[in-house]
Amino acid sequence: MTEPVVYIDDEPLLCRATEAILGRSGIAVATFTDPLAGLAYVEAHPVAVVLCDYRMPRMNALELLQQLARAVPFYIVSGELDVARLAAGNPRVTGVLTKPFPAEEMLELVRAHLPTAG
Amino acid sequence: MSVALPVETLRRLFADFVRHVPMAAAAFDREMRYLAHSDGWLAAHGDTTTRDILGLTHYEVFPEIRDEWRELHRRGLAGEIQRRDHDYFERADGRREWLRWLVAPWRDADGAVGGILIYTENVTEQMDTRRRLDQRESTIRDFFAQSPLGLNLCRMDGLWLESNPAFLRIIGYTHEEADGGLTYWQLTPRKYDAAEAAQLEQLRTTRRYGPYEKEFIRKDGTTIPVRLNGFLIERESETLIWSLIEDMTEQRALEREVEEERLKAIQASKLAMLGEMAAGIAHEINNPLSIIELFAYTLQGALDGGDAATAREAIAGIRAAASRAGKIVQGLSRFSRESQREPRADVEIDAIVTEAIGLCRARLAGDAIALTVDVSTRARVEGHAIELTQVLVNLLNNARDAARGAEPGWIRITAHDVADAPLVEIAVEDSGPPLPADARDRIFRPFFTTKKVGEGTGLGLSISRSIVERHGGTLDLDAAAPCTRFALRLPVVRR
Repeated sequence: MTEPVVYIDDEPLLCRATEAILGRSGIAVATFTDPLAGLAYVEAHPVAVVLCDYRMPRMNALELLQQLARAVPFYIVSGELDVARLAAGNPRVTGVLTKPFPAEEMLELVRAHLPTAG
Repeated sequence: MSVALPVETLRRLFADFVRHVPMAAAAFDREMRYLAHSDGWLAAHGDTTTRDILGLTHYEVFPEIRDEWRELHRRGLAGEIQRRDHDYFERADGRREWLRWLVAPWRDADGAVGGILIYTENVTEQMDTRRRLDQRESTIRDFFAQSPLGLNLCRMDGLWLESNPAFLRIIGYTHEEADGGLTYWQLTPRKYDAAEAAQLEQLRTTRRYGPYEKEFIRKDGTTIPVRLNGFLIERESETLIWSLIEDMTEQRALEREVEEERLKAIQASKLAMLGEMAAGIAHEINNPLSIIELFAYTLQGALDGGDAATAREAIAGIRAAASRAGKIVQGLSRFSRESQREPRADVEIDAIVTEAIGLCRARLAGDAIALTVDVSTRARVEGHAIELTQVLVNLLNNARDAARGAEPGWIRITAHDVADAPLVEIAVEDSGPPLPADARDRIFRPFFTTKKVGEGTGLGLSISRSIVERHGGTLDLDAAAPCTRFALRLPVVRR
């Protein structure tokens, strides 16, 4: 059982599209529109990589990361201007994806954290 | 025809005649001895006595008589008539007077010069009066000619009688063309008919009219804005109208300039707000774009794999996202438009509240601020929707800046009809820290801000208030509310 990719975004259509793309490529993915639900899942399950939207109601990606005790590969996904600044200097942030990113970029990034197909 | 009288009677007649002459008059013989004189003769020479001088010579009575006079006497005795209408004379006692005098010979029965007659009249008072009148007239003439204010006298029927140069310059006609040739009505555009009637009525009842702003049609066909004031006078039992005419061209230009600057300031403030909101706006647009990108990728895969269901889902998602992005851009375009391009129209309050919330939504959501909306009014106001939306966006942005970081963070926007008054009240409340007391009166001043450098221009509230006031309303901080509450009230249009 491969560890899934976790995608957290308050925009349901983005969760659905991500499911469709990763699913089509045979990658397991769990999506959450509620950041608290996403946080609970990551704490309770092994995951390959977390992609988290920056700006969400009730908490943003950095706040969620702060509450996450475990160390996991963590990418901030954002449509904000000046996204890099958001993550600057935070050692727990693995990287940043800027919306609207090409689908291929997400696939490549995700695949880098999956065990190579055997 | 002459009347024959006895000599003694003639003598008496002559004496009485001369006595009562109402000026200084005297008759002399060839040796300049007094033959007769009027009652005023001695006094006119400064002699208040009533001595009898008949038989004495003029020079015995008045030894100080100057040589020029003696010369006049000689010439008179030689047969010459001399007169002067205005002779400036300094008397021995220092008095300065204007005299009118006449020296003429009288002839005896043989035609020889029997002596001279001297008449003198003190015309000092007349001269002074004349000089005062001349001065007065000259002052008034100068005033009329030099006045930078137009002056015009006209008949009740509107015919111009007298116009000063300033007025002629205003209307562009010459004195010959205007006075006696043109009427007030010929140069007044018809659209002022109603206003003219009102001014005439005021003139009739109060004898004055104005201040009255209108236009005249100049000789070259252009119109010139003017302000008139006037009053009635009676001149030789005719009623005439004096008017003072101010050229308002410069003032109008200034007013236009001020209005343009005001509109520029509103636009600048709005664009500054948009700049501050840019991050939230970018997010709003990037989400739909990301959806489109990911679903397009999915669609590609679905087409390749013959998966119609997924293809349809992808297409639906793309279109929904495109539509959403379109609405956001439309909202921004509407908001960015210059309000001066909009004529005043009916503005629905609930619509502009919705619009303002839409523009601010992204920022509010991202900062974990709960927004409550309570709109019960269906009122409309008259004005510019964009400007009023700008005011609400300003208040919402300020509320967001205050509520962010507050525990709990919330904003409430309400819009209700005011009881007992034709007003609607829109209020924005936030859970942020209360404004310090000394800031409360200053917040509406230009360039005042409690925000850190780079977080706000400080123009928002001063411009917002000026917009609201231009709409006939008020914008205030509600000091009585338990939280920070800004309330704007606008007069409602009842249609």
